[in-house]
Amino acid sequence: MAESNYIKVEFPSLPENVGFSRALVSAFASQLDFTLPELDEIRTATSEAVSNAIIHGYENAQGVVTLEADIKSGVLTVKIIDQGKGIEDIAAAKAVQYTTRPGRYGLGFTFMEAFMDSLHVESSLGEGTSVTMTKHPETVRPETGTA
Amino acid sequence: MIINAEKIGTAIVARIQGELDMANADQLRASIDEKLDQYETIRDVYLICDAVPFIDSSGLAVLLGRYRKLEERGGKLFIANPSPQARRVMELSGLSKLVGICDNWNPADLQQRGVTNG
Repeated sequence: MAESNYIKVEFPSLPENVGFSRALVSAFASQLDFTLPELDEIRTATSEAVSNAIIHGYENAQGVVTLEADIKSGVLTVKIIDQGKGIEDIAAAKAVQYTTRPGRYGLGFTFMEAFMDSLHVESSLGEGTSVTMTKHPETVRPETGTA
Repeated sequence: MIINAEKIGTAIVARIQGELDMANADQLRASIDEKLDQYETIRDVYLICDAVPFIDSSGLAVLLGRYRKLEERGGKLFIANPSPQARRVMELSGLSKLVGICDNWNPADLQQRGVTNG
């Protein structure tokens, strides 16, 4: 396995691209020894971050979402970036069941925090938001030949 | 997403195929609500989720909304055969305490559950 690897993709803020983005990140993450439940966690966290960019960042208007992921030293980093309206109060947005919209659940950040090792959010009003998440496989398997 | 929803007695049984997220949450909401609006006698909704490998918070929001609608009617929402991922997010969100979760779903269960033809 390569020491380090990365992907960078841009796509329009269309709902159809939420499924694409989580499938892409899951396929990339499979280069590390994640278990199937861990890949489910990565897919869920990615889905929430990209949904947030489309729904809250761009408020369902047209925009560009940038997805970056890399693998370094056995750790997966996923970064979702939008140039949307930004988050006024990040701490409030991360609170459980916080939502600015009726009919939403307000669990996006809760899932990202629960399912990933780390979550870092940077946002500027009127400039956009970037969400960076990391995760490493819990089960580190022995090197081939040492078992 | 493919949704086959049919009225069976006092219930809607909907078979769903596909991953449930913001791209199709409205489709699922509309297909259930259409039947709820059409038939006042409906009490319970069974979503058969064998072929739904993934649900995120956009999908959970639709489930929570349907749960609330059915609760107002004195009915309940049931999720049959959720995937491990769906079960996990339902548990983490607390939704699993509100809806009924049916494992090893069998269509014959409907009669045992008192769903009558009427």
